[in-house]
Amino acid sequence: MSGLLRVQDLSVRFRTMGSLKALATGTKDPYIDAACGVSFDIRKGETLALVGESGSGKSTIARTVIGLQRATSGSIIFDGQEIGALSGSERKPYLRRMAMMFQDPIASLSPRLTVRSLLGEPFRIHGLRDIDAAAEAARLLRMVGLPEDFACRYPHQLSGGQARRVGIARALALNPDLLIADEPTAGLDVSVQGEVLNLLARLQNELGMAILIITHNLNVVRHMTDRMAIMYLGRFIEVGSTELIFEHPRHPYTQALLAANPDPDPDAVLNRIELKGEVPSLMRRPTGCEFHTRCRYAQDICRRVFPDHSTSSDHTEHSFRCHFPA
Amino acid sequence: MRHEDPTSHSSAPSPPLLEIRGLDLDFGTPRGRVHALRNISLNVPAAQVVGIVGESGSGKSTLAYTVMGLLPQNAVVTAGNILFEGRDLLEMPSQTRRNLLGNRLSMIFQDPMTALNPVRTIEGQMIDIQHHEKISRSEKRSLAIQMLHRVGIPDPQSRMGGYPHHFSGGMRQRICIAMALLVKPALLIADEPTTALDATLEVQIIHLLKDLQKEIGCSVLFVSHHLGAVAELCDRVAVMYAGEVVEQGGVRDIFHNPAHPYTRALLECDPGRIRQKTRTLPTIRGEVPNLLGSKEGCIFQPRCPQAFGRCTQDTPIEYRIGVEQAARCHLLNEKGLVSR
Amino acid sequence: MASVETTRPETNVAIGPGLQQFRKNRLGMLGAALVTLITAIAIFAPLMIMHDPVRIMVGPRLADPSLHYLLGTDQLGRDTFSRIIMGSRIPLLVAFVSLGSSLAVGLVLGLIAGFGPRWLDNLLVLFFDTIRSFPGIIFALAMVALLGPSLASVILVIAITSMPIYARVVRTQTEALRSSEYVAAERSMGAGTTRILAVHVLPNVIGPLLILVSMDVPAVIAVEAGLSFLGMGVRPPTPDWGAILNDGFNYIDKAPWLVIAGGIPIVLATLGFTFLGEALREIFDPKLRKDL
Repeated sequence: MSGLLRVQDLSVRFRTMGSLKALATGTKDPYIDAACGVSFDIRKGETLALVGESGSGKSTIARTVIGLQRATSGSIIFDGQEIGALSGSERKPYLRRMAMMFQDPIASLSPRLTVRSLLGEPFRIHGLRDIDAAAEAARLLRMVGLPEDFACRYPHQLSGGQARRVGIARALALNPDLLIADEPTAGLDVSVQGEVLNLLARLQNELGMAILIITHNLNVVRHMTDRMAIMYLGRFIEVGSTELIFEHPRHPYTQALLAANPDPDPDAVLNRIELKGEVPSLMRRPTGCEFHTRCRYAQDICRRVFPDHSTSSDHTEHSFRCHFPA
Repeated sequence: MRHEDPTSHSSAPSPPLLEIRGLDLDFGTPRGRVHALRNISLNVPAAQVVGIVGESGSGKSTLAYTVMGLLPQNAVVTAGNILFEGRDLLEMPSQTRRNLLGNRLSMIFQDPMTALNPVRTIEGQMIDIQHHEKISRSEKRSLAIQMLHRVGIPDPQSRMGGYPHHFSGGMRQRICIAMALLVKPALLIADEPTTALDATLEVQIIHLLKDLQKEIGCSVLFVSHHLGAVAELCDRVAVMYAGEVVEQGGVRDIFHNPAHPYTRALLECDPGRIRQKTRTLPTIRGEVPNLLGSKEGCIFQPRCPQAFGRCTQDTPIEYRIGVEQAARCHLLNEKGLVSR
Repeated sequence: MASVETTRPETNVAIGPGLQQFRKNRLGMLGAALVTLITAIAIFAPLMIMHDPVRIMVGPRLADPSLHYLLGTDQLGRDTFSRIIMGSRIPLLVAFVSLGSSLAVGLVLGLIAGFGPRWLDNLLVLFFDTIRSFPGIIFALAMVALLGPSLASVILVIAITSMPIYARVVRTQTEALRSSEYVAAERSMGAGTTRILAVHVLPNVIGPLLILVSMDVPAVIAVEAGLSFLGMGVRPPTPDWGAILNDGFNYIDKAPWLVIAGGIPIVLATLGFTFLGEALREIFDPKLRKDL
């Protein structure tokens, strides 16, 4: 397996207020770092998950990779080419080879277009005029397991699960090498969640694309992904193979997340770990280890020193940022 | 750590706090009547937490809103009673019913931002909610401070002067819980209170609700699609599907020994239950039925892997299994388990 | 762009259910009928008149309505019926030209403000608000004083004063759409700004804009009539509803039909466009649709 996407030291900063207001209120640093020095690789055909709660920066990274957001620093290398600094038209050929599925399945479909036109959009955008739009729409609908007469429907006539399938079909229309799936199961019932994940797994087997999954639900990740990265306040706090992390989570935050959605068993509920407090504001990052405000193992050193990446002694691919890993 | 509630397993003959009997509810739509709730019978005993689980469109929120009397104009209750403390909520004058709200009955909602008035301070809203109490304003204020402190709002004295947008999502839901419990209700209805929150906050809210319910001794009707939360919080569980309660019973019965095929399928689908890594997750085939017009037979029959001839013709009655558990499935009669 | 063409028919299908509802909307149908009628009269006016509308003394002064002079004659002995028919052309011309040009300019500026860089947006909004902050009638009087009373200055005044409203509506809509998830989805597929504006923003913006315009037509007709009534619009002897009202007003005691005949078309046109606008609003605003 060779590298498809390499993200190195990626940072994304947002302005929180205009320069005038910052001057007036005496704010020296009117920025927040939504993503901070993030590095990861995705190999061809591999699945990587970015896991975190709201505000962890996982969606920002996805949007930066696809070019909806500019990186402040760092590099994004897709198939050997730096694409982070490309302009819209220079980026376009790469966007044929990567596609993104958005969080809200219905809102990400233009409400005035039929499913057939929606599925034809990728072809039209990339100037593929000689294809038969109706035949392609039918092929894509079959691929995601929807009846062909859905081509005439409008987005508001679809259920959440159906709209999600249309979103998958559109993302895979040009047979991309990389699929970015932002919360692919958000808003879906558990029975439909399974269907969507099974579909993604089957299509990955057939088409061989790599998938970057953005999610807050660790259970989604377990069955779908090869590797995962857990994010907190815009940084990776633990990265490694999914199996290893589920088996032996090293960071206390990963442990809490893993325990947050356990086996629904009334007698097994004791292992739900309750974290105190809430995720701190990005405008007031804690000193030292940024998780110390909520960590039950926090010591003095955690408040002062920001822990570096350490790796597991037996698995060099499993790294985490904690002074006192489990 | 798990506190056994003394009342949860006693079969005391005292009447339940809330008793829903044979409730039918329709929504009038331009395309016809949608039978959103059909033949719902459900008890909420005093000082117990009853969970209602189901997928979207199962009618679980509609049921909660029916009890509160917060239904839209096009909803019509066509049959049944809702007895609260022995009085029928559907029969009483609207003024009497309104007086129960925010007093004996209170509610917390899915989205705490829409449940709070954005242009009034938390203090003002928390004092207003006590309008049934005959105590002075300063007493109300100190009760509010105590309650905010109890739900974990740091420094409530100074922060209660703030507006809802000054608080984070988790804090807002804590404030909503404080407001709902400030009036010492007999029944708290919680409609998906953790759905809008992150996983680590959900755990906090569930634990908070559980502790407060023990302290105040009220009953809770907890509506959720999250099986993990229901398993953790509830004493009894009702499983809803397409407008019917298909199974109900004690929380252990439902999770360890589900009797209805839908309950079993729903539990199997939860990825939290699947220990081995698999690339094929279990699903429920087919789709939730359209509730327009009348249906014959069991509502789950088109999706049921065990359906047989009778399921297409007769609507199953509620068969009792053991002391507390009951389910609407013909299989229970066929197996000769227990019949009513 | 050829690709735009392929999506257009389906865009129309999206308002299909709305069109059916429109047929059920009696007031909307009445409005559409009135608007069609008035437009047809304006277009075919020369074929319908019985006398030269500007010729003096085609008949006696202030004659009563008769078979020969359907609505009588005015103080100069001109045929009122012919003047009313021909007089429909000016108000409609003013409305269509002024609103059409301000619609075009407002649409373009609004799209630029909504989709362009932040500083340009701020600049344009400042520009819109500056224009809007002038009191309308004072602005009109100043323009007429500057350019002299003529049709062109009336059109210019109306075009300039109504443009910022359209531009602001377009800007607000565009800005909301710009941050919508489906526009992000389009951009993630590599779509350029032109394509997004043409295929996804324009169809969503044009509906609300048409409603606004059709509701503004009566106001423009009234303003035009008002300016002519004040003697600041078209020059006599050009027939025009406002001018007819103005003339008739002086003889309201001797020949009341002059005022009535001059007023009724204004009332009908106002009602027609208002009803049409209300009905359009129901078609384009899915939230107001009853079915679905």
